[in-house]
Amino acid sequence: MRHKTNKVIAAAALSAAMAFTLTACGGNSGAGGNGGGAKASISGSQGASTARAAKYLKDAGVSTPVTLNIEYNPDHYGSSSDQEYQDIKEQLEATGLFKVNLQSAEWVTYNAQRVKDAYPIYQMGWFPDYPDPDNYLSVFFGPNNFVNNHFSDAGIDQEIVAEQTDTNPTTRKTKIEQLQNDLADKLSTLPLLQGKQEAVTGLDMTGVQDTLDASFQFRFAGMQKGGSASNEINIGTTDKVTALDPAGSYDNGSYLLEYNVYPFVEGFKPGTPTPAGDIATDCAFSTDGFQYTCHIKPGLKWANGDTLDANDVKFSYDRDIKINNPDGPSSLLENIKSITVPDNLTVVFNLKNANDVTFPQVLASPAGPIVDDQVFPADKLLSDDAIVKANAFAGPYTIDTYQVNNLVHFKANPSYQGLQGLAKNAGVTLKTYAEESNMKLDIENNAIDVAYRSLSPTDTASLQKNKKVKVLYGPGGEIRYLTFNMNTMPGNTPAQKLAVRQAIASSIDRDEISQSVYKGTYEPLCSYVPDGLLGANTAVCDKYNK
Amino acid sequence: MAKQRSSRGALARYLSIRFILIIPTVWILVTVVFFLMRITGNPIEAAQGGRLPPKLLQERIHAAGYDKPLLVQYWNYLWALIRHFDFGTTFSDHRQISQILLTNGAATLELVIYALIIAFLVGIPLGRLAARYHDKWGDVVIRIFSLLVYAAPVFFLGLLMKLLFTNVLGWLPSSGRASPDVQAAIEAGHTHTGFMLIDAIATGSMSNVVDVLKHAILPSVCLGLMTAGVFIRLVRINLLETLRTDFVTAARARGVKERRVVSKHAFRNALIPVVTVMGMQIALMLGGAILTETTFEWRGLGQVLANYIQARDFVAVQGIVTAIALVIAAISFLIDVINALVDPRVRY
Repeated sequence: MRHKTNKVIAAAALSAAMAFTLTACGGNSGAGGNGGGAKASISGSQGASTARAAKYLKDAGVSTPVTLNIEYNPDHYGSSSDQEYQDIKEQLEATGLFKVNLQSAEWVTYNAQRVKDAYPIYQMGWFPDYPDPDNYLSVFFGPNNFVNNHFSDAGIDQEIVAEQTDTNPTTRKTKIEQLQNDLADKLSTLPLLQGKQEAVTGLDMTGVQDTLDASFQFRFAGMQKGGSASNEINIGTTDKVTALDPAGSYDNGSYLLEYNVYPFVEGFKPGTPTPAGDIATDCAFSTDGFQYTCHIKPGLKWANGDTLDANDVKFSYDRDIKINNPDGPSSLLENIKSITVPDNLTVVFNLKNANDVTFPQVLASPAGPIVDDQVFPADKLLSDDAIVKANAFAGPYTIDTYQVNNLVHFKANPSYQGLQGLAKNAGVTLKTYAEESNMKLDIENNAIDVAYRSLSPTDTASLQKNKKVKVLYGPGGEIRYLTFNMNTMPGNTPAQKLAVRQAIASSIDRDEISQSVYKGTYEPLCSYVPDGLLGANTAVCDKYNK
Repeated sequence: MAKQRSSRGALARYLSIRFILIIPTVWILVTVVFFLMRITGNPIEAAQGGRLPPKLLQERIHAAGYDKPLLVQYWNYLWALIRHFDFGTTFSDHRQISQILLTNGAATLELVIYALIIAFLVGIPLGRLAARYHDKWGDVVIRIFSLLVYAAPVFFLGLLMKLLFTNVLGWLPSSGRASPDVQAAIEAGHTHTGFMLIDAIATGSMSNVVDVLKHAILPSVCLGLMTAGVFIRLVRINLLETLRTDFVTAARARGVKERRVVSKHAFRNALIPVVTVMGMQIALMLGGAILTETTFEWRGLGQVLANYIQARDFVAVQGIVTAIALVIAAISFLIDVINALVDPRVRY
């Protein structure tokens, strides 16, 4: 079910702090330039990769040119997908080893067909549920992965379990690196690009850069306009909301609202990707690792006056699991066996797998918002309007005006005691745009103070030259990659299929795509875990592009 | 006296028949829309096919009754529509379609009213001027203008206007129905008619009203000019024809001044066909509103319809298209009434 998170990716241009700058991918590095095209780079450093690609195919007895039917989607993964895949086609065909047929389909069709084996090779993207390397590994390559490309490997499964349950960061890092090296050999997906977080602001805005951190949560509370806490802020976005009820939504648009209005047991301390107590004072695993116990701060209230305690926590997670909404995040809670509440300020999560190091991250993920057990029904979703009417919020903000996918007004919550701290502004008006070009015009004309997700690379490049606004970047967790259907991709035997994948991997120049298509707003992704996270390496580029 | 009574009776009969004809018209439209929407399969599979496990998908299809025979589904839909005026609930965001029609329909209606005002203000005076200066350079310029505004695609005109008035001159906002803070203030107020201007007036703040009006200018002009092009040509040609008729010649022969001949005698008669065409133009405007609303982020029916089409939410599409059809049928009836009252050539 986690693949639904991909919905959030839609054209996202996430940012890139310098700390996240990727190491150039071997032979492909420096082959960029605006519109230089693959053919230009092929004649240079890419030549060695082309020779290697030819060797892979020849050794496996694959006749060339190999016909590749590649499917991509322009309305979910961003309008630049057209150009990106045209670029990939040109690069592959420039080797003389491939004949590429590009096809595209709108998202609804695309997402339905890809799981029906309709596409032998296809585009996909991913935005993490939480900033942990496992969220780029188990969900792609483990049992019951969302990719549905018929990849299955017992050895990889064991390696995934090993890294998931290793509480020692040093040894876990080594395991994650080795896992990626092994995945680079199998190559069931081909990592291509890593996005950056990005926001454009007016010159009088402060605090926006701070929220573009490695936790990937866009927090309104730290922002200020004109240096005064009494000012309100207008923010624009193109991300759509599916539902304000956390059990019925699992997308960036909904989560943007949820992270700013709901409490969490654990959230991310501003500036870090590390979970810490939000309404909890402390959380810890039991000695055997099968229990995760959190203590809740006393005296907490919802904005409507209801008591916020451990019962709300149990209610929220039980409800997510029971409703199991296809649009919801319940799949993230698979490791919860049961939840008990020994007293009103203690909650115990009984886990199926011991020492799950990703569990604290899950509590801070889209599955983590706590809801008011006096307001929300236990077995069905509550409408957005009913939630707003009941004032069932306890995050840094409450919502007092709500027009779905149009306009939301957030009012600072003075009784908030969580990780984000009291809001440094009086309130926020969030305007949802249907067209990114209109958002660009509004930020240029100061009609909004912040434009967040998503502007096209061309618009961003244009805004960088505009002295009336600031373009800010931060580390991004979004990745773009090519997926191979292990059954239907070209090749008569598994060995031939692997050779085709290896030849493709050797023929793609990520730097060129990054520069000519995305103007640097996406960077080359040389392995499965993006740079900046524990265990990130350059396994794929090292193997196929040096 | 007896003749007058007979005439009134005929008028009533004519209007009754016209009114009754709305029913089969709407029924045909609803039926066609229903079956067209079902050609690609059931709405749940279309909207959520790739995202749900097959078992869950089947459960949802069963719960919504989409596994029943098509004719049974059709009857259920029709019955809900007749009994409760119930258009159903959207799949993509679980909203009541009747609520969408009320909220977003008011926005579209507001835009169409503004656009009609622009169309009248621009189309009728210019058409009159063109006829007055027949075949002179003024006439030629106006005719070229009318062709250009009619032929230019709405979205293209919109982009050009945004480029000029927002980017270059910085006079007008590029999109939306109000600035975010003004819209929030209006929403926080007590009056919610769906008409942004009325709601802004109710806040008692002149700056809110000005902000709303500034936001309305570009989309209204963009949509209105398209219709103005039609009005210009219609008024011009009808005025020219009327000016050649015997009663105008007689007026001139009696020494009535040319300006009076045009304004008092010819012009009024030339406006009758405009009333007839106006009904069709409103229907076209509703179509044009989809593009205008998308271009200018005007949260009307057109924009939500485009969004639901993209999301393959066929229940929403079906409801909105049906509602638009109802509106067009109602407007068509209204135009028939006006025509019957003002045009003596209408026989009944």
